[in-house]
This record gives sequence, C-alpha cells and structure tokens, in this order.
Amino acid sequence: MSALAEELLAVMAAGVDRPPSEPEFNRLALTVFAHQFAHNRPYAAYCRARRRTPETVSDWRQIPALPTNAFKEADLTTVAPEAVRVVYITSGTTRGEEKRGRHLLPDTVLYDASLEPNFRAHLLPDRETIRVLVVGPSAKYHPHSSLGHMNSRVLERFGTAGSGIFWTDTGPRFGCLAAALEKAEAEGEPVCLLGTAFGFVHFLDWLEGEGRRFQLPPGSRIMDTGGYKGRSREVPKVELYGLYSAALGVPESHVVNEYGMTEMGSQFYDEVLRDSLRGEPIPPVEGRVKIPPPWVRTQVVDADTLQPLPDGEVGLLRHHDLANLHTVAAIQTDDLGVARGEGFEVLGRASGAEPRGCSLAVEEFLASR
Amino acid sequence: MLLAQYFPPSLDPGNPPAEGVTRTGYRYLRTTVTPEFASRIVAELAARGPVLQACSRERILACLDTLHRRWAKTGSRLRGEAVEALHAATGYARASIDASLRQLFASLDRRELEGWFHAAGILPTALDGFTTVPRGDLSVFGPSLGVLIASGNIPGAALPSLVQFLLLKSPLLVKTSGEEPVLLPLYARSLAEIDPELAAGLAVTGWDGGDTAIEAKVFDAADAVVVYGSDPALASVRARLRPHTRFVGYGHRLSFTLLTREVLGEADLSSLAQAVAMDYCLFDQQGCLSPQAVFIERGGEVSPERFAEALAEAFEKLAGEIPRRKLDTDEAAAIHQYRAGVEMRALADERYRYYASDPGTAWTVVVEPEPGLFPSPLNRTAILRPLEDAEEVAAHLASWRGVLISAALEATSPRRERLSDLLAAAGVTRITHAGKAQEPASALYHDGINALVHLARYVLREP
Repeated sequence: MSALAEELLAVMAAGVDRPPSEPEFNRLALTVFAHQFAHNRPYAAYCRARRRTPETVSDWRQIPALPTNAFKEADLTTVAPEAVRVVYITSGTTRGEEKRGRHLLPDTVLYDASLEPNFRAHLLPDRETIRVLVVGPSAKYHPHSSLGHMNSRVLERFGTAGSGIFWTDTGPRFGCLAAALEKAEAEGEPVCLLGTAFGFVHFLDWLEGEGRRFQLPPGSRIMDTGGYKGRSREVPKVELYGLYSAALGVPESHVVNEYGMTEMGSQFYDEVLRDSLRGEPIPPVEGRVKIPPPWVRTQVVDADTLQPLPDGEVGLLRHHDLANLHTVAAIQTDDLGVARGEGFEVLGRASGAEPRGCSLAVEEFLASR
Repeated sequence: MLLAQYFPPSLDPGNPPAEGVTRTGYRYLRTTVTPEFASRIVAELAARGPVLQACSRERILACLDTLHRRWAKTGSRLRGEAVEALHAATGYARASIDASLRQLFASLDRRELEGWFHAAGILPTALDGFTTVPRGDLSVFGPSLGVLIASGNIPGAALPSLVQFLLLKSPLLVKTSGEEPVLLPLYARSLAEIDPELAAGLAVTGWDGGDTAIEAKVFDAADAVVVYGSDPALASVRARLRPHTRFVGYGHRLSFTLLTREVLGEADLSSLAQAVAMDYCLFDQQGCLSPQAVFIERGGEVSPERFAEALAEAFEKLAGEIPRRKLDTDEAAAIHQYRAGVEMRALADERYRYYASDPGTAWTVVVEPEPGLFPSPLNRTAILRPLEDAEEVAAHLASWRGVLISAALEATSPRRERLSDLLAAAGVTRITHAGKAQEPASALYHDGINALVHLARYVLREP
C-alpha cells in the first residue's frame, strides 16, 4: 500500500461529513495526477497532447478529464498488466456488438473504502446493519460488474441474517424474493432492497401479475440505480416511486437513487433518507440532488467547449474521483446534469437521446446490418 | 412572429394560432390541429379537387415556372425572407440555406418539370383529358387527396414532392416538422400570390407526428401518402394506411465520397479538399446526401494522410464562412467521446491521423485505417478510409446495400465510368462530384425511384 493510497484511505475513513479542506483536496488531486501521469501511459499521452502535465497544472480543475469512451479503446490503468486482478466491464447495449469499457484495478481496497462510508451515510444513517435483499447483479453471478461488487460488498458488510441475492446469472428469482419479503413482513424486520430501476420495474410487473402486494415494515428502504432505457418498458420516476409505495409499502422518503459508473470507484446518492431522518422536508421525486462525497468533485461542463457551467445550466457531468487512484481520476461522462448548490442533479444520458437528421445514426447502422 | 401554416381562404381554422418553438428557440404561430379540424381540412381539400382538375397542365407549368424563378433569382425577396426564418429556426448557416434553396428552385424550372412528365410517360395532353396512344387513349390523374409528411432536418428536402402533387392537380395536405415549420407555408403563400386557385388546393400545417387520432382522419381520406422521416416513422405510417393507398417513403440513407489516385495531385489539393469539406459543411452532415465517409485511394501524388491535413485546413476555413449550427448536448458529447476513442486507438496504431477544432467540436478529421464503413458522430466529422485500390469500395458497401444513396466520385475517365458501374451495382442511386453532394441536379429520381410514377393514376381507354 503506497503512502498516497494510505492518505486517501484516511480521507475516506473520516466519512462524508469531515471533508478535507479545498487546498488539501487540491494537493491530493495533484499528487494523484502526478502518479497517473507517470504510470498510465495512454492517459499521459492524452494529457501531453493538451499540454497538461504535473509541471503545468496547479489546480485540479486543469487536469484533463478523459471521456469514458476512451476506456473502450485502451487499458487505462497505472498498474502492470499482470497486477490487474479486478476487471469491471460496462454493460453496453442489449445487442452487445460494440466495444465495452474496461476499468482495470489491482484490488478493491479503495473502491470498498469509498463505498462503505458513503453508503452508510445515505442508506443507513439510522442503523448499523439491515437485512439486505439484492435484486440486481452480484459479485457471485456478475464478476465483471462493478455494481455487482457493490451489491455484494454491501450485503457482506451491512447485511444481517436473512439477507440474500435474488438475481442470478440466468435472471431474477422473483418467487424467492417475494417469499423473503413476506418473511420480513411477518417478522416485522425492515429490509434494504438494492437493485436496478429496470429490475424493480420487472418485479413490480410480476407482483401485479401475481396479484400480490406488501407492506414492508417501517424503516424499510430501497436503493435503485440506473436507467432502463431500451428495456421492456420505461416507467416515469414519479410512477415508479408511486409503485414502490403502493406495492411494497416503501415511502418516497425511503427511496434513494444511486448514480455510479463502471469507470468510477465512488458513487453518488440522493440525500433524501439522510435529510428526512433529520426532520428536513422530503424533496419531490424529480429534481433530487446528489452531493459528492468529500473525495470527489463534480463539475457540469458545456458539452461543446467542455468549460464549466454556472449553477442551473444543463451540461455534461465531469467527475474528479480520488478513489480512481489506479486508473484515471478525472472522468468526462456523457451524462446530462445540472449543478445545484453543493451537489448536482442527474438528468439522463446524452447518448440515449434520439438521433436527429436523416443520416443513419449509429444505432440504426447496427440495426440494419 | 411567422404564421407557420397555410390554409385555403375558404377554411376557417376556428381557434387562434398557438405558439410553437423549435430547438433553437425560434418561435412561430400555428393553429392546433385537432382530429375534428383535421377532418375539416381534408374535406375542404377534397372539395377543391374538381377546381384543380379544371386547371390546365399549361397553366400549372407556367405558374410554377414563374414562381420558381422568383425564388431562384438573385436578390429574391421570397428567398431572403425564408433564409432568415430558416436560419433562426434551424440554426443552419445562412449561406448553406441560401445556396441550397437557390439551387433547388433553379433546378425546378419548366424544362425540368416537363422532363418529369416525360420520364413518367405522361404525354403533354394526357393530364387534361384522353390522349391517343398506340393501344388506345390515355388520361392521367393524380391522387384525389395527397398527404405529404416533411422532415425537419433539411429545409426544402420535401419540396419536390409538393411540386409533384401540384403537377398532378392533386389537393394536398402537408404536415411540416415542428423543427422546420417555415419553408413550406412560405412557399404555399407565394404560390397563392401567383395563382390563388391552384394554391387553394393546398393546406400546410403541423401536429405531433404519430398522433393516431389526427392521422387516422388524414390517412383514411388520402389516396397517396409521401413521408420523409426516420425508418421507424415510415414503418409506423405505412402500417396505418389502407391497403390501396399509394405510399412513398424517404427514410434514412447513407452517402459517401470516393477519391481515386489520379485526382489526388498537389496542384488541385486545396480545391478538392474545399469541395469535400463543403459537402460536410452544408447542413452539417444532417442530410441523407451528406457524406459519412471519404474513401481515398492510395498511390496518388497526395497521400490520404496529406489529404487529411488539407481537409482539416479547409474545415477550419469554412468554419468561419459557414458556421456550424449550435449542437445539442448529446450531439456535442458524442463528438468528444468519439474523439477520445480515436486518440486512444491512435496511440496503439500509428496509421491513424487525427485533426480537430479546438476548443469545441466544430470539425474533426480522422484517417481511420480499419477497413469497412462505419457511421460518424456527424456534424462535420470526416472519416477518411484509405483503400489500396478504389474498387475495394464495393466490398465495404456490401453490408449497407439498401440504405445507400449518393456517392461523390472524383475520378478520371475511364475509371470514373468503371467505378460508376460498380457503385450502381452496389446500390448507390446517385453519383455526383465532390462539392455537389447537397445540390442534386434533379429531384426526379431521388432515392432511386420516380415518385411521379407512383403517384399518378394512368387510365387507358381501349379502342
């Protein structure tokens, strides 16, 4: 473990409420950049082409943010190939013909160190442990999914007896999940459901087909993640949250949306559960704000010039995640967002937009082959 | 604010027009179409049929010839107004719009329109009554009601279809896109200035594409439907037409440029690069005729790598003369993501070349050594694909057969002829020159069909 990694672990261990000062964050970010510039060759070349090197950069905002697409084309890691032990792969579209992004790590030490305090603060502000029910990927069945690792890690770290995984490599186990919910209901034991939004949509459809509903014990909560564009059907967020309440008995105040990406070691969560437990008003379903953990900075940049935008203007999200020590800390996403105060709102994925023009677009090219 | 609709004077829209807005923020007025109003529009248009039928072919040709000259002439007031409004509504450079409209209207002169009739086998007098042909007497009619659904990407793209309905004396309902609601109402109004009776067979308006309640009223009344749009939009319309309704669909298509070694000389380098760049800059690669790739043959005086450099210079120059429209977030993001991918691939493969505007996404030039054809993220992204021999292009086109449309071919005789044969066999329906991609010489055979033949109803009275 390098001294730099130790320093980062200490920042994470201090939790989300004790952020390093801005100069301290800047110092760490520049040190991480110097490390990545020295050891991540493709990224160093990208930075050199922009004349941004550890010698020329004095502010973390000047560190070149690498578009996520680069992870599909190059091995963007600071560790030697033989030292790569963990490979997370982007999910891509259902057709799966295109290249997929790869996040190559020597271990999950920083990932886990970033995950735990952040998850605890946003999903378990009121308790140490909970019965965790996973309705999405897991490390066991999806070893190359970072979300799978996260779900499994949460289960190991915070899950009590009766926790379990209800999604295998062959798909969902809704019957077993319903049985687990029934059991929790009967025992009065609150649960934490972890899953993807589209997975929950499927489950809710299934429940409706079965004519079943639950009133999960008070304190039960849901963490949903990701969109479900292009899946069986799209459900507006307001409607989905209504269904969580009607079919599972989990109120809006206890539904926490998570936003993360394969290329990042840290995640973002809605503040809603933390806030509501502190007695603050519950924000509406649409427009909830996520505040980055102290070891991450998020900017919203103009999609054309890539220059930072003021609060309230829609642009692309750019994250500077120190948990990415072993790869690239500055990540330029194609996710749409808007800065709001200390945090940001996620508005969707730019690449999911309807193509315009009568030139054939990528999707249609693939479809027409 | 522009009233972005045209109705026959006899038709009262009832409600006052409501405000619409394009993605550039351009505001216009348009009466909200309800299913009830749609029914009234088609009934009113259908009632105009006999009046139109009584107009002679000569009257229509003369009117359109005069009208199109007005639009095409230097300093045209009509074109000037349209250019300003279209620039505001679409964001395309004024120079792009002006050049393309001028060329479009200049091409739609009397000689061209007579040529359309000829190519469709419509004898000069057959539109006005029975005319003797070898096997009897022939008379030609248009649809008793036509519907034209225009797309928003290229101003004027659907105009030749509108003209075809007029030539066939058909009442026509035109649906414009909410993104380009400008040109066709202006055209209809300008027609009314010359021949109000002819224009009274025309209604131009708009509604949300795919509104089944409105479209059921419209499609059930129509004999012929012409659609410009995405492939899913075409399929959706087609599925809702009665079996005997004539249908012409112009969907998504693929175009490209092909440069052979003979034309790649230092002397003509900058003019050739300028012409190739122009095809990308006019309408920012949004049209079906816009190139998706430049196939470039090795072995010429100028290498593909050298050409890429010249092309980058041409783009930089044109960025000032024909500024690209402001992109949506998703479009700009796609270009940055694409560029990053290319930069990474170039690190591992020195055959790549990469030039890009900075800052911003105004233009991108890439020499892509991997064979095959693949889409670019558009909006002035030129991907050069070197070939050892130009004839290899056929292999790269094979999987795109059916969606190919236009090839800008630069070659000298006899290779030009040889390659034309090869491109035609591969599925291309238009072979043109670099710099002419957006200026088709004739709209008659657009997309490889003669639409007039599809729309006309030929009646033969046997002896």
